[in-house]
Amino acid sequence: MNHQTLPQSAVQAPMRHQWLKVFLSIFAVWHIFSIFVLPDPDSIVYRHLTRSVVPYGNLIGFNNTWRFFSPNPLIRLLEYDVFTRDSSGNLRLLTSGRYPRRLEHEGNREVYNRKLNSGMFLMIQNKVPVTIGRVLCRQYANADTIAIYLRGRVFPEIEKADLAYEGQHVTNLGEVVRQYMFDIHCADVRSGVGGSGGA
Amino acid sequence: MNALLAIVGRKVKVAIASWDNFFFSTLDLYNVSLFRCLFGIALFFMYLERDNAAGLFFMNHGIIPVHQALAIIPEGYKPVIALFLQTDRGIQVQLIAHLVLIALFAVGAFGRSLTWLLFLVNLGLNQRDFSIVYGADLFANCWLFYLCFVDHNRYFSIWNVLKSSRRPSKENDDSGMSDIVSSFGVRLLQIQLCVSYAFTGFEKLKGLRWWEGTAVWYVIGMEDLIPHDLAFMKHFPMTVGLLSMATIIFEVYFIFAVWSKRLRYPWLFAGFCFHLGTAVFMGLWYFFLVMVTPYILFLPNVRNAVAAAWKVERPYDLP
Repeated sequence: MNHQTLPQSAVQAPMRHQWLKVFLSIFAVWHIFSIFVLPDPDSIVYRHLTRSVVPYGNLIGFNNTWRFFSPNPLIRLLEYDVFTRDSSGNLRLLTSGRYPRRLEHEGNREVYNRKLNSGMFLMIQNKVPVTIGRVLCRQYANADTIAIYLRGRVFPEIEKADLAYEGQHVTNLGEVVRQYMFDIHCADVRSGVGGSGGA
Repeated sequence: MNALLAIVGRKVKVAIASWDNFFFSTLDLYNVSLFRCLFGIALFFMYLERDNAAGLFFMNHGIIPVHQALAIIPEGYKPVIALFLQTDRGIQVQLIAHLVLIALFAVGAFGRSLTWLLFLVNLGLNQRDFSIVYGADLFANCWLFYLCFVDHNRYFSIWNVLKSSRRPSKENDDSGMSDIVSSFGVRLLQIQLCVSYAFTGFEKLKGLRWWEGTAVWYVIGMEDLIPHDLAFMKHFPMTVGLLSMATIIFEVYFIFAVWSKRLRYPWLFAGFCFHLGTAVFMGLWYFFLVMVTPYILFLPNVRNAVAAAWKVERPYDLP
C-alpha cells in the first residue's frame, strides 16, 4: 500500500504506535529491573541504587521483600500486664491482655490477622509505646505502668512430638515462652514523652 | 566480518520481534476483564471487613496517630509522597471514596483513568497504617498498578448491561481485543506474579526449617494463626516434608512452569490448592482470592469455557 494515497492521520498513527512502543519498552526494562532488585535489600545492587530504584519502588509501593513465613515460620503475640499504683505507692496488677484479643472476640478474621501483623511489626520497629501503648494507657485510665511481653510457643521437633506427646492437642505440644520486653510508663505516654520504650 | 554483522543483525531483529510479540500483540480482553471483576469483588469485601476497625487502624485516637504514620515505616521504605489525608475527617472521606471506587471498579464502571485514582487512594491508605499491611495488600497494590494500563472494563462491565451499543459483538471483533498499552499492562502483571513467587521461594530457602522440610510442621504449631488441631500430622513426617518442599518447588519454578504448555495447568492447579489450603487453615481467604484471580490471565479460551458453563450460544453477547 502506498502511503501517499492515505490521509495524513493514517500515516501518522503507525508512527505514533512505534514511538509508544519504544517508550513502553524503555519503561518495561526499567520496571522489570526494579521488581528484580527491590525484593532483596541485602544485595549490593539494591544498596547501589538507593537513589533511583528504591525511591521508585517507594513511590509506587513496590519496595517489598515478599517474605511470607520466611526465612522460618515465626509468629509471636503481644501480651501485656496493666499495673496501677495504690495509695501506698505500690504497683498492683490491674488486668492482663493480649493484642489482638482471641479470634472469637475480634470483629472478624481479617481484623484479627491485621492486628496480629500490626503487633509484630510495631514490636520489631520498637514503636509499641507510641502506638499500641498509647491506646492502652488511654483505655486503662488508672494505669501507671504497662509491661509488654512477647508470647510464643517453642514447638517440639516432629520426631520428638511423635514420641513424647502422644494423643495431645496441638496447644499442649512444646512449651509457651513469655518473654518480658519492656515497661511503658503511662505518665510519659500521656504527656507525649514516652517515645522510646527501650526494648 | 560482514557475515558476522549480518548474523548479529538477524538475531537482534528476531529478539526485537519476540519482544514486540510478547509485550504488544493483541490479547483478548475477556480474561483481564473477568480478572478485574473477581479481584474487585474480593478487594471490596476485604476492605469492608478491615474497615470495621477503621477507628483503631486509621484515626488519630487509634494505634497510629497521623504524626506516627510515616515514622513507623522503616528507613529506606518511606514513601516519596504521602498520599493520605491528614485529619480524621479526611481519612473517613478517603476510606469511603476507597470503597466506592473499588465497588465501581468491580462492576467495570470505569477504565484506566479512574483506576489510577483508585491506585493512589489505595496506596495512601497503605501508607497511613503500614503496620496492618500484609501480603494481600501488597499484591493488591501491584495488581491495581498494572490494571491502570489496561482497558479492563471491556467485558463484565455495568455499561454493557445498560448500553447495548457498547457490547463487543461479532460484527465488531476488534472491540474486545487489547491495544498495545493494555497488552503491555497484562504482561507486566504476569511477570510480577512470576517474580514475586520466585522471591517468596528464595526467601524460604534461606531458612533452616524450609530447607530441612519441617516448616509446615512449625506452621501447624502456630496456634494464634491456625485454630485447628493438626497435631496428628506428627504421624506423617513424610507428608509434612513433601508439603514443605512442594511449596518451595511450586514458588521457585512458577516463573518457568507457567509459560510451558505442558506444565501450566498442573502448576496453576497446584497454586490454587496451595492458596486454598492457606485460606482454609489460616483464614486467609482474601489473600487466596488476590493470589489466584490473576491465574485467569494465564488461561486460554476462558471465554469459551465460561460460555459453555453458562450454555450461551453466542459468547460475544456476554456482558
